[in-house]
Amino acid sequence: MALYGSANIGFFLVDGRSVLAAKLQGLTEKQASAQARTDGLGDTWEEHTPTGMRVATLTQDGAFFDAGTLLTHELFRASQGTSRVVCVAFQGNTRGKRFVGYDGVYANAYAVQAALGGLTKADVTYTITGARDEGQIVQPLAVQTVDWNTESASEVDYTLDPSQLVIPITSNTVANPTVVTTPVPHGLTSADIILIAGVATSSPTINGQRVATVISATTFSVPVDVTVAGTGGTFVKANSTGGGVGFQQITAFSGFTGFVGTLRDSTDDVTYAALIAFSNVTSGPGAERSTVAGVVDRYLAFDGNVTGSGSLTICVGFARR
Amino acid sequence: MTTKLVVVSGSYRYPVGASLAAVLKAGGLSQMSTDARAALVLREVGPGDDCSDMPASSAAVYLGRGDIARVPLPKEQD
Repeated sequence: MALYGSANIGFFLVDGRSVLAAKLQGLTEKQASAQARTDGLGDTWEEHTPTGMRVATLTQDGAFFDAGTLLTHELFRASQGTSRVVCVAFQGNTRGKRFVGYDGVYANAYAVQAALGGLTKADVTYTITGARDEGQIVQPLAVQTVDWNTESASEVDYTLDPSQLVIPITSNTVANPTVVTTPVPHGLTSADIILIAGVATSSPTINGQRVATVISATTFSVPVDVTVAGTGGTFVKANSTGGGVGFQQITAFSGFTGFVGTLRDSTDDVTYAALIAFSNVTSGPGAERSTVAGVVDRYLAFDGNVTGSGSLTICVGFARR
Repeated sequence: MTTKLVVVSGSYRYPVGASLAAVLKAGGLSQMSTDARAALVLREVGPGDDCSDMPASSAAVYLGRGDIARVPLPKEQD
C-alpha cells in the first residue's frame, strides 16, 4: 500500500480558486449519511433512519490564512449556500493519482486560534451537501499556453489504477473459446474488457486484453482457441460500464478568447473517442463538473484547444462509476 | 468492397496511413513522444462520416457496441 505524507497534498480548489492554506497542520475529509431521529413515545431505544442525504466535510486544521492571498475565503463567506465544484488531491498533483471531487451546496466556518506569544491560526471546516466522486487526475494542475494533448506518453491507464481489484485466476480450459475459472466471484458482466496477466502454460496465451463472456459467478470465457490448458494468473478490468464524472478546474485565465477541453477515452491506445466536451471557457477562475453514461474505456486523455494567445492554469480529473 | 463503416454516434480520432503503421509499431500513442505524435496524420470523424479506414482493433470494439455500423455501399461505388 502506498503511503502519502503531508507534502503530497496537491491542490484544494473551489470553483477554480485555491483555498489551500499555508503551513497546514492537518487536512481531513469525511463523508457521512445524514440521519433523522425516528423514535417516538413508547420506544425504549433511540431510532435513527438514513434520510438519503449525504454530507461531506473537509477540514483544514491549525493553518495560516493570509488575508492578502486567500481573499477567496472572504468571497465564499459572502455567498454561503451556493453550489460549488470542489476538488482535493491528497496523493499529490500527479497524473493518475487519486483525487476527490464534489458538487453541491458549500459552506465554510472558521474557528480562530489566537494564543499568547503565538501567531494566529485558524481551523476551517467546509461542508458540502451533494455529489462526491473519487477518481484519477488526468491533467495535473499546470500552466498551458498553446493547444495540448495528453495521449502521448501521459495518458491514464485504468489497468494501473491502484483502486482496481486484482482477481486471481485458477485455470483456463482447452476449448474454443477457453473457459477461465476464478477462485472468487469475478464480478464481471458479459462484454467487459479485461487485462489478463501471469497465466502460465496456456497455448496460445490468454494474457493480454480480452473481451469476457460470463458463464457463472466464477467462470467466464475469452475468445481464444486454447489447445494446452493454463493455470494461475490474474486479471483487472480494462474498462468500466457505469459512466463517470469529469471535473475541470481553471485557476487562472488570461489572454485567450476561448478554451475548450475534451476528455477522451480509448480501448486500444490508437483510436480515441470524445468522452466529455467541457463548455467553452472565456474567463477564469472557474470550474465545471460533467457526467457521462455508458462505457468508459481503458485509456483516458485530455485535449486542450485554445483560441488566441494567452495562458491558463488548469487541472482535470475523471471519476469512473 | 461492398460495404463501408459509418459512425453512428460519438466522434473518433485515429491515425491513418503511414501514421497508423507508426503508432502500431510503437505499441500505441502512449508509447510515442509528444513530438512524434505531433507529426502524425490523424483523422477525426463524427456521426454519418465514413470511417472505413478506422484501425481494425478499434472498429471491432465500436462495431460491437453499435457506435459505428457496417452499411452497404451505393451501387455505383461497388
